[in-house]
Amino acid sequence: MVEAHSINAEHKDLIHDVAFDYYGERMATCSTDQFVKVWDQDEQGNWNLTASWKAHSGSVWKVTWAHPEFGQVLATCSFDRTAAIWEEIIGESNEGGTLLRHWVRRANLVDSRTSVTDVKFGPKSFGLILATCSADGVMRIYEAPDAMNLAQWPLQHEVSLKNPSSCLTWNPLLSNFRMPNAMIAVGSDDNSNTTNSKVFICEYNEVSRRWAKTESVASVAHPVHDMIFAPNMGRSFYLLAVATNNVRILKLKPLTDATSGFPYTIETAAQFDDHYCTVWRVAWNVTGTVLASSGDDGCVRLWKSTVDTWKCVGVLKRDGKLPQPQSKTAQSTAQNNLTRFFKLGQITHPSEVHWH
Amino acid sequence: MFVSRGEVPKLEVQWSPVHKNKFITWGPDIRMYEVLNNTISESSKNSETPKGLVLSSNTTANLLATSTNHRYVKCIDIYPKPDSEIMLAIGHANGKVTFCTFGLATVNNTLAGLELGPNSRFSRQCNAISWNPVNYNLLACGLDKHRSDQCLQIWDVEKSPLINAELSPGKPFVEYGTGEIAHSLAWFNSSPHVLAVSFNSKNIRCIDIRDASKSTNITQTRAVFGIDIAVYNNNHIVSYSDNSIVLWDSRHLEKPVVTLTQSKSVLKVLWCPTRHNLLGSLQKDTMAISLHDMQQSMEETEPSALERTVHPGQGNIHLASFSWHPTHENRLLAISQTGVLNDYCVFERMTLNWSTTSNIAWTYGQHNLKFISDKDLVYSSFEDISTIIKMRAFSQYGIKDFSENSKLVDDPIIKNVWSWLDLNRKITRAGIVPTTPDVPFPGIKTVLGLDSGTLMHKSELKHVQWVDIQGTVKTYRSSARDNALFLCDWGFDRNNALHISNVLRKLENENAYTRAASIAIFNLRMRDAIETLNKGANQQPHLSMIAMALSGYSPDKYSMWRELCSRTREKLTDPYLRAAFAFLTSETDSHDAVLNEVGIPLEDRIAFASIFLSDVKLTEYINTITNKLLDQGNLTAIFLTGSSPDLVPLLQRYLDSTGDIQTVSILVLKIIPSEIVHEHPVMMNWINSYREILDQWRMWHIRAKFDIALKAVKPPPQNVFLSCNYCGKNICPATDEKEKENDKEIKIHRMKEQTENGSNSFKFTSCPNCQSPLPRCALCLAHLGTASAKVPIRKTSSKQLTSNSSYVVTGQSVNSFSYWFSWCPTCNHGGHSNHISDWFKNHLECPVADCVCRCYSLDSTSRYCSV
Repeated sequence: MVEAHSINAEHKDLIHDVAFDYYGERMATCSTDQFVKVWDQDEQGNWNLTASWKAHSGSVWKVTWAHPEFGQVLATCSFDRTAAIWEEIIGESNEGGTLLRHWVRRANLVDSRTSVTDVKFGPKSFGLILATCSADGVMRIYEAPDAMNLAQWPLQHEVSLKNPSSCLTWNPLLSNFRMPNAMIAVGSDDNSNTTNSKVFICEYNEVSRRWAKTESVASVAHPVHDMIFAPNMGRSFYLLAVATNNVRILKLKPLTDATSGFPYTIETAAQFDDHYCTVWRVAWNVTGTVLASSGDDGCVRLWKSTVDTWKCVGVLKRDGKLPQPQSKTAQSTAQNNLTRFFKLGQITHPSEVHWH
Repeated sequence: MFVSRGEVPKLEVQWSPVHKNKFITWGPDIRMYEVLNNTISESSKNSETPKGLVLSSNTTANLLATSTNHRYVKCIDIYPKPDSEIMLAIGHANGKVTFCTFGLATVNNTLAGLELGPNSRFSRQCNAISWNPVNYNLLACGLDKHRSDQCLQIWDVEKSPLINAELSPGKPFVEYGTGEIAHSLAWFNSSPHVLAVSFNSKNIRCIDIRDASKSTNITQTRAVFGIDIAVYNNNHIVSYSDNSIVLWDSRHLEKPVVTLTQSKSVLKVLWCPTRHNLLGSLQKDTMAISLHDMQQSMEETEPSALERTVHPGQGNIHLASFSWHPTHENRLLAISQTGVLNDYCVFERMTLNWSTTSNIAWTYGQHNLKFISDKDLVYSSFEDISTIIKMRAFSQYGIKDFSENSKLVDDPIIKNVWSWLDLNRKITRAGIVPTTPDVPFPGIKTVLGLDSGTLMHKSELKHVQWVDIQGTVKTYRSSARDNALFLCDWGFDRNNALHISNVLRKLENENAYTRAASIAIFNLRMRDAIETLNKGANQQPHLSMIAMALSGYSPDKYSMWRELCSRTREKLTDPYLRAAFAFLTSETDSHDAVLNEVGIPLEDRIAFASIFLSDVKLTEYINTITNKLLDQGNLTAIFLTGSSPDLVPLLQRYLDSTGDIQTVSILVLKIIPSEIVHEHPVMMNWINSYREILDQWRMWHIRAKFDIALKAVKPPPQNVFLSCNYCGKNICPATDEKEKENDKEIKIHRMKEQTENGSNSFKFTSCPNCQSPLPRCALCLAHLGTASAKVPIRKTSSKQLTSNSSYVVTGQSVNSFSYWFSWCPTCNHGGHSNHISDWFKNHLECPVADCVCRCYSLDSTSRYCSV
């Protein structure tokens, strides 16, 4: 029983990132083969390759879309120590009369001395703003002062985290917090020790007009490979999914009476070890209610929250099939279910809640 | 030099380069296994356990042969010639090389049982042995030092004299390295006459056996162990010593490409034969295999490795060795120090993402992507709230009225909420329950005066007589309680027998016999209750038994009936009957058993409470139940809060636990006055979040309808102004708010006159202020404002021209849009919108001479259409 649809990505090497645009109609992929490819979905739901170009001179780690109100804009980052901004422009029409679209490099951000490991556009309300992080642990904020001119991306801020960084994510805006500060969580995949924190929170201070590291999450000490804030959807707190040696969901609740210091409490809402050792990526659905994760067990796992508890609601093998029962015991308990529900989630004890 | 007895015996594993399903392990003895895939026999797996060694969840291994008569084995290589049986070349501690075929001697295995030996009597260890991967007849051996003997010997097993052990030693094909030690060696695939050998713990040399004396490529290094050459890129050589893995490029052997320092000493390093630039390494005393994904850039950046570890096998036994499968993608076999084998497939890092349109895509292997969408079975199985929201939005949920909203949802709680709001509105509109402008939908708490800052009205205690039975019950009465009853749909006149029997008939028609009976009992009408149950007995026979039991009721507090019924009532399955009996058998006035009967809908319980509870107890009950529901984020609590400010925390809690932004936004807009909503940042955030989702789904029409129907946002300021080229004044004065009111009226009047004066539609082709003509359409060259002739013009009725409509919109339906000014904000050329859109159907560039602006393709958002 094959459940998933297939696309031949036509990349010559490992694909590192898949990104959807704001409307979910376009998809960009990037690979070790130094190419970026753009795919468009047709009415039947099939994905068609519409552009493919050599974007960097090293592995391209991440690709991300800007909000469509800034145009069709992509940002990429690479092992070649650069990040780049790309814009789709309309070329000459060919004999068939269809327009040829192609992507041009509008800017090259060359401030990093090491591999640039992640790149993400900030929330639309902040304007055309971009954050990158690099293997030497520097988080950089770039901003295009003129949204019509994508060639100008002055470096605005640099925050040194002193830990090799692997991923970053911008916060969405909270519903009931009076002054939602711009916030970025940066993850580190430093595997030299497992005692130091691997998740750092950087915040923009409106008064000093600077970005600074304001918090590190002590409960995550294993290398972090991916992190993403859930879309807020009017929630009164943030949800941050972390891909580390397990799937971790952190809950950041704003403190109502915080006068100084880090104005959130961070607690672990859920933690799942089903991927055995390493979790590679995490992604939220549009409402931030279901989390998908992929890991070393070669499975995509789906986690859903029901009134403060999280549980597994689906497992797909990497080829898109439903998994065979792994062992005789698992088989007997879950044989009759088409989708298998495991109650493996641990809700951590209140003693593990961190107060700041 | 020999393995000391105290150490764990060395264990090695190696896949056969020829046979895809065979491998050998060697330690104290040499074993050959065959791998079986047991996925095919999946159906019969329950009955019989698979034979042989379990390697992984779907592979097992059968032991084919064991060879025990080799002692002091130092190194082994498997004969790589295709289509041959497994034959091993074994290097011994005494320098001898023997061949082993596990007794399966066949025609081409003439070597079996033969022996190649060093030409000296002194034994010295054979450190490395390797078959040439192309010229299968060549076998290279690296030996320890013995005086001035050569340490590298290359034998031609077909041509050199093959020697029996008893006879005098033969001569190798090539000899090299006088008085040196050879540690490890490897052949180049692409140039099979060259091999890389490490010597004397000092250097690595590339040796061409055609002219061995002339070795040009040499590097000084201490990393002399485990030389391995990448299959894909033959220039890549790897070796290790102690804690470091060193990568070499055979073209620039002088200095290492990169050195990877490991935390523990390295035991083995192997290139993955199926994937570019992937290196596997095993460190001492670990349970994991490290994978190094070598990253190189075209520029001068130093290459680095993307590291990860994989843990083949469970438990905490350290691994002894591993071997990559020669052809299967990323498959490796690991052996632990206790000899447990594990067949493991290294999955490529899977990246995944989730689109706003509910596609989940992930990578499968190196070249493929997989995706599922919300149309797939798996996706629908986990009832994602976002797909539910999408479905409801398509069905116009929220845009419609309360009762229709209730039909559009399946969730019973939300259904109830909408029906209750419908009821609430009917009651408040009828003027039965008073409302305030801020709280148009009062909840139970509001009408009872339990909202913070207000006091509850005193109510009057009444002993009410049972109908048809002797006895009284304590009830309470006040106008506030009556209002609460109305909101619970108990708004019938409880003293009027006709009203009550109407309510009972209605419930009987809905087959809600037990509910009807308990309502009758709570209104102290035992006869009605019994009759109702008897009617219901036609469908549910056990109800007649209940009716019989009820008929024995007497209000006497200490009767046997009471005693026995209170014992058996817990066995009743129907919550209404349970509650009815609890009411009849209660000894005090507390009625806790009825109030906490969760099977009964909240409104019935509250109605009951507002009749039978004293002021103090009622307050306590309402507050307790409100807090409980609030804590659960249960939307039913809206019965209690209504549209009072308490609603906001309830909705926030509901939203936090369900993510149902849609219902929350719609509720807020439907029941809270929009002036309050628009000033409330939290509520506006909810509404904008919901609008944003609709935008992301490109459901723009639905979002626009939502905005219109629910006044979701304040009307935005005027988007576009047209001003005259000459005088700079606004061309559309009707929309200019600064214009004086009377001035506006005059203009409207003039416009009306024009339309009534027989012209088909209002036209103006000049500035209303300075009378200078408006620019010309780039295509028809007529002044803008002129009706374009191509479009049939409909008669405009002047009635549609109210003071709110602008000059440009003349009240015509679809076609009037074609008279609109349309221009490109980049090149500032424009014309009639229908002319312009016609032009760009076939053209790319602007219709104005010398203008190369691609006006129509500039706006990237226009590529998307609304769904």
